[in-house]
Amino acid sequence: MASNSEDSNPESPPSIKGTIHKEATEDEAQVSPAEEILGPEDEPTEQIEPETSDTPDADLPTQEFIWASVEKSPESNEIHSVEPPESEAPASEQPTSEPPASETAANVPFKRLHPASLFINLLPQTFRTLRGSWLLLVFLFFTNNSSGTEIVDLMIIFALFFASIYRTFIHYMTLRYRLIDDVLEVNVGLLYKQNRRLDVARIQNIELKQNPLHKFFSLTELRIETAGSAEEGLLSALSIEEAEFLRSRLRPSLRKEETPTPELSLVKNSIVELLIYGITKRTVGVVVVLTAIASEVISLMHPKDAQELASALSPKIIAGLFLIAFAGSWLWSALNAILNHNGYQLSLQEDSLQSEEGLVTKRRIEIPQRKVQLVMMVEPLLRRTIGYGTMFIETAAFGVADGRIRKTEGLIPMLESHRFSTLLRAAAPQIDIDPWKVKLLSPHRKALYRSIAQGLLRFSILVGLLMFVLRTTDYHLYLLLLIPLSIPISYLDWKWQGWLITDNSIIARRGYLNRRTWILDRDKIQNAYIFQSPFMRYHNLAHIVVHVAGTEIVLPDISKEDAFRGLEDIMRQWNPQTLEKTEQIGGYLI
Amino acid sequence: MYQPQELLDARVTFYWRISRLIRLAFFSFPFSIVLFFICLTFSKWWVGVLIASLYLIQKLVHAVIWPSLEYKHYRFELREHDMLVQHGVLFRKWSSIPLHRIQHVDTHQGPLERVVGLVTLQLYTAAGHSSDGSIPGLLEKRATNLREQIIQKRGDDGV
Repeated sequence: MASNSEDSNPESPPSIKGTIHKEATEDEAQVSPAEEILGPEDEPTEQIEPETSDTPDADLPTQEFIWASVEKSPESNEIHSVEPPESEAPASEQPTSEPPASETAANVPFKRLHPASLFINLLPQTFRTLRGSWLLLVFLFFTNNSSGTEIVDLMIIFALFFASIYRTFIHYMTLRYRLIDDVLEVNVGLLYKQNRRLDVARIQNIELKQNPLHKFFSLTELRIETAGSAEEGLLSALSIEEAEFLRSRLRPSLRKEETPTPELSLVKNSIVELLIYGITKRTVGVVVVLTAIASEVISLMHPKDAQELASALSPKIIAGLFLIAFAGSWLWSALNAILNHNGYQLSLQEDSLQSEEGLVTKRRIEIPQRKVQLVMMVEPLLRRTIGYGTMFIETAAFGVADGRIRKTEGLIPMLESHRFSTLLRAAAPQIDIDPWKVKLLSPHRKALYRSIAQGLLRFSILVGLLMFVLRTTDYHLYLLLLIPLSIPISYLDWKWQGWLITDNSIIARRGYLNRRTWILDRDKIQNAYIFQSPFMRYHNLAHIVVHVAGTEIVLPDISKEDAFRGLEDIMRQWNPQTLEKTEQIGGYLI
Repeated sequence: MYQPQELLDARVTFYWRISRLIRLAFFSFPFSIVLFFICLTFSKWWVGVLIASLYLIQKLVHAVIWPSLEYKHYRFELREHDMLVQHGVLFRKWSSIPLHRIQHVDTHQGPLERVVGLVTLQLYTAAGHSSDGSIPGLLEKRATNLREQIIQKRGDDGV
């Protein structure tokens, strides 16, 4: 039915035009009441004016915004570090008057890192160098059998080691930073000079990190994250007082008021809770995949041993092995949880969330409330049954740091289910809905078929893998009986899906075994689309996908008409009039 | 359902066909031969022929038949507050990119595109890299025109 209408459309252009025209007028009709409320004088262009004016020519603004999406190339750093506005501003200010309170660029001295950063940075820098040349290392490792190459190998390793010392040294010698009013300037590099300017308004979160070496010298690492690469503002070794000073200065709200409001403690996790967090984290899939890999490796290295092993396997032994595997993975993740989150506590000070955690390396993260774009609740079945869940508080700060994608900065490992709503309100006050109280809209009935089909496919792959591992035993065929188990799980999964688009938030929920609920701030949406696979088209289904910086949230499958209605609703946000309203409240976007 | 108005330039089918045929000749065809020999080591010759030919047929369909279907389903429109892009033959996508979120716009042209005289317009938002913001097969004039319009309408959205 749907495809029919689409096919006929290109052949009859007049009818399209007719519909378009109607929609356009409807759009205008929707817009006008908002205009009346806001008043005609608040024009969107006025809002834009002040920010564009401090960049000298018309081409620059486009380049200045590159950094969020193209942070990989070294040129992009240089592009956005072009800095005529700042160098011009003080020059014009200086001759007129010199107010003692406000600092001008000329009289703010550059500061350097603590000398101990030479020790502290050496290890991470070596790791970074080694990772950069891993191909070379693999090559060295596999070719060292041949004679006469040892000296070359040694030289290469020495060169790598020397390179990391050199880099650490250069980093320390050339890094200069200073804070002028609202901008933190960081210059680094000898040959490749990097000149970074971090605007306070653009800071997504601030992180203080202290590993044992830092602690020994009583220093900390300050990491300032903007929407883009995490390496943007990294000051690896500062004295604690200096870091605290910078941190307090980089918070727009605290600088205005002299007396900071007392901290409001929100969450504290005990060791027991964290242990439970670690234990409930691992899933069956990980163990199965790991055992599969292990068995394959054994059979590749010692085919005979593997055969003997397989023939000796009895159900009891298999069950025992699985138990050991589970215990091992549980132990590992419990240890990890303690290591990363020991002594977790979250508090609210003024308008930013502050978390502290870590056993060996202590981390202290600060997230301004207004930068929170997405809150995700993760409730795996086990954790849910004992009344807990995990909350992720996400800002637009994402990127690759130390070879890993780091995205979710604020993570509350264990949170009692009855406190979800309170914490949501604390993390993102701009979202004034309680997703655990309102009734969410359910997915389309036909989406159940898709859910079941997907579940069957996923389960078959898992069972297939298991059968492959146990293929030499007699009872591997019985595993096929497990496949139908996926149907009730798929049904429950479908039953728990839900979605809702409200005035200022979008809520999506899915999953039974691993239930996740996303609550996102509508003002932070980057773009949105509707997706339809051939199967979905056959059943006239579609789903909405909403993009915020760095994350994609897929809403459940609904009928095509509902999906387009939903998207239409989301697109109201594109109108600057709606936007302006929120800007007046928050002051900053994203 | 609201359908975006504008179609790509019709020459884009020609460009897609040629570029995919070139890729077929220089990459897919040699790869299918490799595939055949890999299959030969595992099982009988006809399995290898089957797999290699299926692979080639899929690529051939993608190069010869697909472009015209793709052209038919590729639509876009620049509206007051957003850019609508609708594309996909089997997997349909209907996306809307708000202009105030656009961080920068660029147009680019591959060597073959230059011969045909077509340009690809690329929009970037803070959402990261996504294929929705790219509109291939535009005439140079239209592409620069669109870019200018977008830059003018684009708000200054602080990330």
